[in-house]
Amino acid sequence: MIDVETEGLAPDTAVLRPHGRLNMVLAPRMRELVATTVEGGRSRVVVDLGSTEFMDSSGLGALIAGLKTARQAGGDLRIAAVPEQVRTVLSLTNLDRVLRPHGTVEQAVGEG
Amino acid sequence: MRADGAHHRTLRVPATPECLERVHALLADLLGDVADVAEADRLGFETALAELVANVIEHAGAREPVRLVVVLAADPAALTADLYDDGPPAGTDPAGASLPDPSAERGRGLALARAAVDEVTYAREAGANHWSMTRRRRA
Repeated sequence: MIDVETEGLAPDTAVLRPHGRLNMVLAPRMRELVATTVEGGRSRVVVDLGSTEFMDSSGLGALIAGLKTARQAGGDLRIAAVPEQVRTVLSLTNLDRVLRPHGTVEQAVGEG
Repeated sequence: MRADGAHHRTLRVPATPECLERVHALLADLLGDVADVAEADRLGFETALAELVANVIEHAGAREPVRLVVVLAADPAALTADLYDDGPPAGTDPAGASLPDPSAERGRGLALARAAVDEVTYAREAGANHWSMTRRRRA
């Protein structure tokens, strides 16, 4: 399950919150949700991973796809509240600079 | 626990996306029996295990349900997993797996698995694919 939060946020911003395991089961939904969110005018996407138990390479692929979609629309995709397992995956795939972990959703929304 | 200090778990499931949750649960159950597994060992092992299982599921595709057997073992020195499936030959060599371009949206699974544990091997044995992985315990 993935929650989408827009209330109280700037009109170009949305927070997506995947619950459970972001793997081949949930990754297609993640791609789809980022695409529709960006199409709907919210191209600054924050993915709150605080409730994400586990992420595999297909989840990672969905984040990379989302990053490209958001940037093509002039926005960005940032990740926040990143658990240790996800940090491990980012670091082992050398993507921790492409998808830099932000401490909290507020920090991810607020920074530059 | 056996005399050699090893704990084991075995799971037989159809290789479908739904089996992933059962593999994670199997590992959690096994690690419940083993004292003091370092967090880094658990995370690395679980990450690689999930990639190898996902690889089997993807490779099985829409064919007749491919049967998957997962055997996990933990002893004081290492965590190991053996996966056997009766799907078509995987036709991949884990030793040759490398990370794609940072903008790639797929193709990282095997390279990630290799980076997360100490050893990943693949062999085609008697009509079955056999993946094996080992994470030597650091603590």
